[in-house]
Amino acid sequence: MKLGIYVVWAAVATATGLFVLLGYFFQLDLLFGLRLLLIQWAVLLAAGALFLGLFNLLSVHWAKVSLQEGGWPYSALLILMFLVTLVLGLLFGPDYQAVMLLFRYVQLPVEASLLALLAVSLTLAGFRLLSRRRDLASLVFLGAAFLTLLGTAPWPVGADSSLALVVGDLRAWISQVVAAGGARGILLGVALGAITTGLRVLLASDRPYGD
Amino acid sequence: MAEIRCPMCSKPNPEDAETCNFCGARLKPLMVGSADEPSSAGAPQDPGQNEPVPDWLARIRSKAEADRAEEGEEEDDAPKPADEGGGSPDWLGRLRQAEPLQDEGPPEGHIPDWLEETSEAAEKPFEQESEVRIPDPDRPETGWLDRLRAESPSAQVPEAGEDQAEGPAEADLFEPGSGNALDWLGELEERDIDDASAGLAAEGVSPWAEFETPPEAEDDLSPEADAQDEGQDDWLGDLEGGEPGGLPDWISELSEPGEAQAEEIEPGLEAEDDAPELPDIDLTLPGEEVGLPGPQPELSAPPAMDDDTLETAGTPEGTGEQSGEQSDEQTDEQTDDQSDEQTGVFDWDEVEFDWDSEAAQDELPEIEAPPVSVAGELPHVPALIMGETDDVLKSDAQDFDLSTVELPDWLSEVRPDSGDGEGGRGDLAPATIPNWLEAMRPVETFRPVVDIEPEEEQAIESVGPLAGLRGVLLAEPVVAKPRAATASGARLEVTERQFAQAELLERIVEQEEHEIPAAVAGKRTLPIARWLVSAVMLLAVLIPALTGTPVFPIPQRVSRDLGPLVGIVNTLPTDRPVLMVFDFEPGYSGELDAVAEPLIENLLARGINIVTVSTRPTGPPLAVDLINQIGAPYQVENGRNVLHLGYLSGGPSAVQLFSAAPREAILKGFQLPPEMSGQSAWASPLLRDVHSLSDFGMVAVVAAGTDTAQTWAEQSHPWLGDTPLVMILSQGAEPLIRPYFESLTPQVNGILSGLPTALAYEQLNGRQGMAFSRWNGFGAGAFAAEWLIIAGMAYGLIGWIMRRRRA
Repeated sequence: MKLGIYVVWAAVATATGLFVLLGYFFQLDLLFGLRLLLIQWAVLLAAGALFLGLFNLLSVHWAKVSLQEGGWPYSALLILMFLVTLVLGLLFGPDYQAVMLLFRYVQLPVEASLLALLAVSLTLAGFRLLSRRRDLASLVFLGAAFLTLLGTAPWPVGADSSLALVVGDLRAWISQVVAAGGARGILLGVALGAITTGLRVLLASDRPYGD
Repeated sequence: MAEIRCPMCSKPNPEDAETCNFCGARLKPLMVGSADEPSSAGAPQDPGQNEPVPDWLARIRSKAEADRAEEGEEEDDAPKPADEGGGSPDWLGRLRQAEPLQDEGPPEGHIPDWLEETSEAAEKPFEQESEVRIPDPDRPETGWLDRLRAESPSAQVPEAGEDQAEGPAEADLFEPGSGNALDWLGELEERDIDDASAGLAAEGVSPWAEFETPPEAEDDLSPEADAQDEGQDDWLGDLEGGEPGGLPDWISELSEPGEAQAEEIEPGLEAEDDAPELPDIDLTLPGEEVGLPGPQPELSAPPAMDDDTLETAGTPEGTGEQSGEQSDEQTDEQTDDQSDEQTGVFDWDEVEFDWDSEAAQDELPEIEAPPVSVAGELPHVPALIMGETDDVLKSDAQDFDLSTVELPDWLSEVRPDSGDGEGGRGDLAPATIPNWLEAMRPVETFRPVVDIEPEEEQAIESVGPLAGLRGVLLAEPVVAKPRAATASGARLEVTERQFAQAELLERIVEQEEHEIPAAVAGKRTLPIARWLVSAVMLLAVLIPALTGTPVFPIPQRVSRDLGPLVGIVNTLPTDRPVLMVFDFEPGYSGELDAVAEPLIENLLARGINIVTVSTRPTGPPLAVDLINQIGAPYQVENGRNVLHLGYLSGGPSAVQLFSAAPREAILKGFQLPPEMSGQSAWASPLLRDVHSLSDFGMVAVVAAGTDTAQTWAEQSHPWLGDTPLVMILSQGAEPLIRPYFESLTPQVNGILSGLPTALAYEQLNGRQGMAFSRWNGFGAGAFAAEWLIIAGMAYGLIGWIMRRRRA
């Protein structure tokens, strides 16, 4: 391996990770203070990354407007609202009444409507599923969804029937056994992946900060 | 800057370059007698003055030059060369040039002036030789012999058959170091000079004519030569009878009939003995005859004049020039070597003369009878030096008409026709390729890059050793000629797989060339299914909300997760605020607001202050709206019962920071009361005792996604202490967070998810909230979705069955 300036960056990254990690095991004021300092820096960097993300979003849509690409009016509207919100937020703060109005009567209904469309789209997908694809996975998928809905949603009639109880238990078994088992497996995989990634970074084997 | 393109690699080179800088090939061809030609060892050559030409050859040339001058005066019918343009090789031109001279033999008993002039002219190039020559005015008839004596005053020619090293025969006559001394001349000196030359000189007959003219040869001599028969016989008889025992064998053989003579000569030539060489040299030197066998081989084969030949051929000249300067000792030491080297002067192997044939036998006497040898000059043979050849051809060759010269048969046969490129192939079979070789020839891949022009149109080589030849390979035009790359000589072996891939690639390329027809606009059909599903879902939600019917019954069964949660909330201390984290997007507000409402209402009902925070920019407004909506009945006042910390930027790191040091993570607040304008949220009385996360009475995370819930569960757990952490989740995120709740050491102390659970919580609170108001719509929508899925499944299965039946 060829030595270079990356050794410095690796040393910094490893030291930082070790200090934060040791803070979980040793309740020392020095480690705690250093840990907080490092986390604050990380938070500032994250805020800067968010600002860069906003700048990138603005530049992309600005390019669309400049090149008159398809859908450029929407980009222009986005830029306009972005600038309005930014100016209002910088001048009067994020809790300014106008900003709250924009959020309450623009952003909130729009996002809620999108999720409502999601409900309709998922229902339509379930409706067409067997017409498009007839296999075991599709049948299992539709069966699980149907049972979950049937066990979650109220029954117009026969809510107290034994069938409703069975369906309710079946829905609980699906969500708390089958789905929870799959979720735990996913969590374990994520945990192992996080540990491996952390060790690789601590050992400077993986250098996302570059060589 | 002029450049010379290398004939081998076609790369440009400077004009003055001798060799190619790239491939090392010689750019300037070597020419005989040119300055570039490397001099032969032992015989330094001066192309300008001392050309490496044998003296006999130089004399022949000189003789020819002298004859040109006189022939214009003496011979009106002098023949003109048939080919002036160099169609014939130089040697042939000079050979033809020498033929008329033979026919013009000197008058009987008289040495013509032109011959004397020729002798004088022949002596001019050899300055050194003229210096050592002792002219004898008393014996003009035997000038040639005198000159030979003068050239070798102290020559002691050994007897024939003896080792030449034993006698200093040619020590003074020729260059000792040349290695090309003429043994025959030395022997001649030894045997004849002392005895016969004096007598012959007295008779006024050239000793050349006597000892070189056998009786049989006299018949073939020209009339001019016949006129000298009488005198020649005399001196020859004296020569033979004067010293019978001392007469060399070669002279005796020369006197014998031609057949025997020819038999003796040829072995002698092959054996490289001294005796057989004599007649050859004799024939060559004095004979201005056409049928000279001596020089003929060299004349007929100019390419044979390689370096070795030139080296040895040039030696006699040097010998003649330096004979007076060389010591006898040097001569003695080199005599043996010279004897061998003399043999190599002429490439006898290339002699095409048939010595056994009758023609040759008839011509031998003619060859050996130099009619004009009285001048003592060596005959002129065709020049082999390019520069001299050019001069002769240009100036003198036009005086001869070779077509009128009667050439002997053997010469006609021997005459190389390479000059015009025709006759040489008369006996050659046309070039053919055997069938087996033709079968091996790559037919498809071979393409001639240069068209072979007809022979008449082919250029004549102007320089180099092939000068004068037509149809030679011209390297430069072939190399420098721009042309397409030739095809590979070997076929490419393609496997089946490669062939299939090649075909596939070819098809792909062909498809790319084809124009794709414009897609036909399909028949636009209304998305009936989409519209139908949308309409059903919309009506299912609107009708219960507008009409209040149908009424779905309140679930009688309560989730088992609700009990622990309610127990936590009901046991919370009222003096410690509860931190509620609103980490969800506005789109999930319809569900999560209804789910979180009973918990918030329960807290407010218990008089627990609420502090909100969010890791999402849209979280604080949602929190403000929800708290204000729920807290209205409870007279909730911002800054007094509720405080909004606002947005916590930084993602998971911010969560950890906030968990470890909340006051350092958030410095301001969101919608703080007017009395706290310009102040930090931590200045609020609600947070007076809060310095860490564990100072809160409870931490409730309202999240729609699993990531946010996991982050809070993992990052805040070390700092929570005894503070319970509850999750208010969307129905879809609940399975992934449940493991944190159901573990032995739970990181999540309570879960509240789903509208039915929220409705149940409301029922426990004894107040109908948003969960209850949305229950019918929720039930109708879920019911519609269930039936739509069932309808779709039935439609798909029926259609599949029908299609199978039709098939």
